[in-house]
Order: sequence, then C-alpha cells, then structure tokens
Amino acid sequence: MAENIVEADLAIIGGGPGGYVAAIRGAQLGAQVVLIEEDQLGGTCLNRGCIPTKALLETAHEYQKLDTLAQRGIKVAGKELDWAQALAQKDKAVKTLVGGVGYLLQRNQVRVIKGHGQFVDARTLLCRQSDGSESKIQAERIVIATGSQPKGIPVEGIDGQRVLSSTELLNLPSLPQSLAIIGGGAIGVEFASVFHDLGVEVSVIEALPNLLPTMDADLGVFLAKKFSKQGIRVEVNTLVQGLRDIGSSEEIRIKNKDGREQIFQAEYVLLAAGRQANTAGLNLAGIGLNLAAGVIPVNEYLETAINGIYAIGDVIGGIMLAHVASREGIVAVENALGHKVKADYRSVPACIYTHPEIASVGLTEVEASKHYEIAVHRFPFQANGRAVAVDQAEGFVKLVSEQKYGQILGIHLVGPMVTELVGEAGLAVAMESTVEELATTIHAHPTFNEALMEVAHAAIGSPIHNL
Amino acid sequence: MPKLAATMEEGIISCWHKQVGDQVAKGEPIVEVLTGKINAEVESPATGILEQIIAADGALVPVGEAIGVIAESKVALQATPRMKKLANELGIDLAAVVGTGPNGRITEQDLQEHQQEALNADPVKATATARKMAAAEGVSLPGIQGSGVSGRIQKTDVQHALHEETAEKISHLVLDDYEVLPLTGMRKMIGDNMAASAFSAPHVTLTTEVVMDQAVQLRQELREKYRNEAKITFTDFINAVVIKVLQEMPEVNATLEGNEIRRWHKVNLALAVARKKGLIVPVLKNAGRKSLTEISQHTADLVERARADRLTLEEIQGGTFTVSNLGMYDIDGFTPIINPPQAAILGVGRILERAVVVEHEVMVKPTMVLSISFDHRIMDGDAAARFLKRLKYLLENPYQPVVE
Repeated sequence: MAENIVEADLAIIGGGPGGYVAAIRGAQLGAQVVLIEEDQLGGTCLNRGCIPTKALLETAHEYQKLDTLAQRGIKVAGKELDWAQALAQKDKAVKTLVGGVGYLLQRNQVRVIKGHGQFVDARTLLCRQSDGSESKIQAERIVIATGSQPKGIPVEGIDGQRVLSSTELLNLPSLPQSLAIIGGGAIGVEFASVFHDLGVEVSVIEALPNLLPTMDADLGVFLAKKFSKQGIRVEVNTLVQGLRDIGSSEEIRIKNKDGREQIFQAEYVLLAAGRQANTAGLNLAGIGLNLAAGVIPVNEYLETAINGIYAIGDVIGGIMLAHVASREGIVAVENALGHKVKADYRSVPACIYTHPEIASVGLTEVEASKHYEIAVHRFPFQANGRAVAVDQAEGFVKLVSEQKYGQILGIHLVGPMVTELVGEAGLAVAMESTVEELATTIHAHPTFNEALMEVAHAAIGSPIHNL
Repeated sequence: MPKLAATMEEGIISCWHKQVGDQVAKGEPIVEVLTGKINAEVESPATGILEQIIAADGALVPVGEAIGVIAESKVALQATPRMKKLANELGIDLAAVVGTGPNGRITEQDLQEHQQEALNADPVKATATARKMAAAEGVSLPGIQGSGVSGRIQKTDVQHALHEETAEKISHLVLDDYEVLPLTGMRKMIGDNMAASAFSAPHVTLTTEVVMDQAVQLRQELREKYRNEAKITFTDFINAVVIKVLQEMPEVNATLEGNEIRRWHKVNLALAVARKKGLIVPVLKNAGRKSLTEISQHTADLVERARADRLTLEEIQGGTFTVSNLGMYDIDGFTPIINPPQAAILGVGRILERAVVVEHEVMVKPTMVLSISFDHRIMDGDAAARFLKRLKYLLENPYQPVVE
C-alpha cells in the first residue's frame, strides 16, 4: 500500500466554512497548511445548507410573488414550476462557490488532501483516500473542524424511508404534495417557507412553546402567526409520538402538552430537530481527547485539552452557525500560530430567510433582563416609507437597551431585508454603541434601515415617525 | 476632586494655576493635584470664570467633592469682529480660546494655536458605553488599558478598573492565622523595581568600618553653629561628605541608560525614605552646589513631604546616587540593592562605641559600617573601593578638607 508522509505546520480536518477559512488564515500568517476534506469543499454550509437553501428560497419566493403581481397591474398568464431546472440553478450556484473556495485555497498554497482524516497521535493524522491510498500528515498544530449532521430523535419510525434529512429533501426528484417538518428552529422554518411558497402543504411541529426557540420570543410568535395566515400548519408545545409509513405517505402521531393527540399524514417528513457534532471516526479516544455532552470541549482560545490541538465550529457545540465557525477558525489558527485571541460571542448575528426575513443580534429581552435593568422599544415597518412603497410593510424592529447608559444590548428584526439590516445592528452591539449614537447617525431615506434609527429615537424618547 | 487613577481615593491640592475671577477655558490646566505618587494637572471641565476656590492649596479632598466653582461665561468675549469672523470660518468656539492679547483679547495666533492643539489632541479610544460608565463612576479613561480592537476601552475594562479598586479595599483580609494584603500599587511597584535591579544589575557589595570620633565632634560643633538655621543630623553630615566624594569621582556618580554610561557632572543625591505605605526615594537636586545648611534644610523638607505624600514626580526622578541610612534602626551594616539606573548605592549603618585598635592598643571609639553596592556593568571593584576609601578618609579626618 502506498503511504507517503506529509509534513506541515498546521493541519485542518474538515473544509467547511470553519476549516477552509482557518486554512486560508493559516497560510496568510505564513504557515504551511494541509486541509483534509472527505467530501466537497465548503462543507454543510455550501453544499447542503445555507447556500443551496438560499438558491431555492429565491426560486420559491419569485414563484410565489407571481400571485401578487396583479395588484401592481402586472398580469401573468400561466404559472409553472420546473423543479429540475430549479435544482439545476441551485447546483450551479453551489458549484460556482465550491470552485471559488478551491481556487482561494490553491492561490493561498494550502495543500488539500481528499480523504478521511483520523488521529494517529497528537501530532500525526492518517488520511485514507477514496482510492485506498493513505497519507500520514505530521503537524505541530491541528485544528478539528469536522462540523455536524442532523440529529435523530428517539421516536418510533424515525428511520423510515419517508423521513428525510435536509440534504435528501433538497435533492428529491419532484416536489412532494405535503411535508411535515419536525423542528421549528432556523432550518425547519426556512424549509417550511420554501416548500409552502412552492405550493406544498406544510406542517411544522415544535416541542417548545415558540418557533425559533433560541431567539427573542417576539420573533417566533410573529412568525407563527404569519405562517398560520399563509396556511402553514404550526403545532408548538407538541411532541412527535410516532411515525408510520402507510405506503403512499407517512402517518404522523403528535401530542401537545395539554395531552391532546392528533394524527395526520404527509408525503414526506423532514427531520430538523437540531444537529450533532461529527466526532466519530477521528480516533479522539485513541489520543485521549474526551467529549463532553457530545462535543469537543475547548477553552476560550479554542484549544482542546491536548496542547496544540484546536477545535472550531459545530464540533465544539455552542452557536452552530457558519459565520461563527469562520470566526472561530481565524481565532484558533491565530492562537495556534503564536497569537493570543479570545473567541468573542457578544455580537453574533442570526438570520432566518423566511418571508418576511428574520434576524437578530445580541441579547434577547429575556437574557438581557437577567443581567441588566433594560428598556425595550419597537418600531413597526408599517411606519417605514420604503416598506410601504414596496408593499412589504410588515414586521418590526425591537431594540433591547440597558437603561443606565443606553447601551444597545440586542436588536431583533422581522421584516423586509432584515438579514442585511442586522449587519449595522451587529456593529452597534460589538462597538457597545448607545441608543443616542444609533439615533443621531443619519440614515438614508427611503431605506428599510431607517427603522433602526427610528427605534433608537424611540429609545431616547422621541420617535419621529411613530406615536 | 477628579479621580485621576483607578486607586485614587483622595487628592491634595498642590497649587491653583488660576485665581478667583480668572477666565478659564475648557481643557486648560487650572489646578495641580497630588495623588499618592504623582502630581497631576487637572483640566478645566468647562469654559467660564473661576468663581470660587473651595479647596485651597494644601487641602486634602476626597474624590468627588467640589474643589471649586466655574461660572459659565456670560461676559462679552474679548475678540475683534475680524477674529470672530475668522473663528467662525475655522469652526472654533471662541469661548474655548484663551486670549493672550491685551486684556485677554483673542489674537489670530491664539486661534491658530487653539486649532493646532485640537488637531494634535489624541482622543482616548473608548466605546460610547464605556465613556458613559466611566463618567458616571468617576473613573478616568486615560489610565485604563483597552481590551478592544486597536486598544479601544470597553465596558469590561472600566468595570475591571472599578473592580480592582474595590478588590483592593476588600482584599485586606484578617484571617485567624494570617493577614492577606494584595501585592498591588506602591508595594508592587517597589517590588518590580527591586527585582529588576537585583536580576539585571550584577551587584557587588564592599564594606568598610569608619572611625567616627572626629566626625562626631565636628558634627556637634556644626550643629551648634547653625542651630538657628537648620538641624544638622548625622545623615546630613555624612551626605555632605558623600556629595563631595561623588564630585571628585564622576565614575561612581553615574547611570546606565540603554547602551550609555552617563557620568554626571551634577550630583543629584537620592535619599531612601521609609514610609508606612512604602519606600520612596526623593532626590536632592544639584546637591554639589548646596551648603551644609541647605542640604540639611532641603533634606528635612523632602523627607517631611515624602511622608505626607506630597512629592512631585520630578522630585523623585533624576537621582545619580542613592544613600540609604538604617543607623536609626540599630543596624550595623547591610547590602543595599541599587536604585536603577544608578551605578551604586551607599548603605550607612549605626554609629556605635566599639573596640578599635590604635597603635597596638585597644581603645573604645564610635565607629560606623559603610557598604557600597555597585553595578559591575558600569564600574569595576577598584573604583568603588577607591570611593569607599576616600569617603572613609574624609569622615575620619573631617577637618582635612579645609586645608586640602
């Protein structure tokens, strides 16, 4: 068997948004970097998550929008969805971006080795390639960035043919008639929005009292109402009791917290009840690296219990978001190469690409009230000029600030393009800005983001366009 | 009384630069305040007239209490219409400019200087929340190390500064078996300095015994003679002789600064002064030009102000040689640690009647042990030995200099 030995300053296991960013940062800092990826570069985010869903969301939204054009005086005759073409557009976007990552890595002289990596010892990795050949990679510093996969739930029938992961759902040859989604978190509600807009009958089942349970409660409440109005069935405080394949569809048995049981049918079931860290097959036990609650524990410099081994992204748990993994990749590599940087999670934006969009950054009202005397202010998009002009006047901006100094602690948004507005909100939180600063910064008119300035005006006691 | 350092609890008004009725501009230094270690200039928080001085020079004032009143200026500004127009064009608030022309009139040069100063000012980088918190809690931002991007001061840094202060207050614990004191502030500063000296300067200590009978007699005579002008102590007397020898031997009156050995023409004699809150070493500047009575008077003043925490930063800087006298504690002799960047330090022991052999006979005479620690990077043993020998000679033959 052919075996060769590769020496590097830095080896990274996993080429997702955490790993590939870490690799580029390492190369920028002058290290010889090896990146091991067993599948496609870009990881879940690029191949199965953020990016392909955004492609399909746009398709779904454009398709759904055709129904609303008549009120603008645009008459559309005939409306037809070519699902195969929609998937092709999605695949093309994914291919472009994956190619872009490969190009960036190549230009940064990162050596990419395709195969499955595992630890031999704390400084050596064994990489098995698909053709059976093996490489040994010796590196002083190693970063584990193996990501996560959809988590199963202990329910009868969960292994059935009609119970799909998001990856499988994205590649169905044709659109289903109906879809039941287990889990009302970010992934669940986005898929609900996409498939509803494409004409699929959708149900969402969430065990906790709100959709988007980790976000500010007002957002989930708003979305549940909106979904119901659109015709999406929303069941909160509800557990799935069992699943059964009845031939042409799946039978789903649910029970809410009042004990009321219901049975309904859907052609497919999407399992979106959280994600679990990919730690199997790395031989972590062999090098004495223990897991805690299913994830790799790290310190605030993202170093594991073993000196020189770092871990980032979904595999360390915490906030499982691509942009968090990327930031962690940079922090870990800088620390691995002699800097001393802490991971700072005070300003992590979260974006949900439903229609209308949802976004937030900083502390929720409940979290903030545990540590501060807070003030909460809202500004509705009904009072925003551009939102009214383009007929998207729904949703609001909610500002949570600290009372004594007016520090902006959290901003929670639902409305048009708010996934873009949250960038400004994130800067305000990261910079420890005060409500006065946000209020006195001139915002362009007419824009959606005037709403941020308006809510800050409300916080200092004088909203101009609201009473 | 502004809070000038995280640990500051009170300050002494060193001197007012302005008198009641004077025009003051925002940002202009108006009063000097002495804190534990240093003298700091306090800037006027507003533009106007100094209406009242509440705390006069020398007053000890807790942080946060009023020391004076500034009335915002309502009087017409002393500026010609041309200056007003120019100020308007340059975007300068005339009220913030101090006029140097006749009757405090603002001149074109005043405007230009004001604008240059505004351009040169290096604003403290801090988040808006950190600024508000600092203002509310009376913490001075310039003293805080920022942990944010590009050193920006964040809320946690201000909280940390506040916390440190409280920690210092509460961590003075008296337990059953021992007492806990934090190694902070003065204690830490002294410790760091001494450790730096002990670990970087190769120390050698030479010791000799000096027969002091003639010195004791001469000092007695001098004390009587100058009794109306000064109280001449043994320390003053010994220091005066040390100063003379240092003037003769600039190789000992030296400092090591970077790669330079500086042999000083002037003698700035540093005097170790023990205090409850920690050792301090005020400097008798240009001591070679001072008479014995002046040495005595100035030393007394420095020591008194050192114990009252009223030395300026300048008064504890610039020493060229240090004397540490532990005679009053009944210490025979000791090996002092050099006060960096100086080349050497003299340790002075007590004067005690001891058995001395004079011409084969044992006699009882007052003697004193002198020890010099020197930095072997700066000089060799022979220089320090010659210094000590000369000092011993002059102390044993104190009438000699008169005829030399």
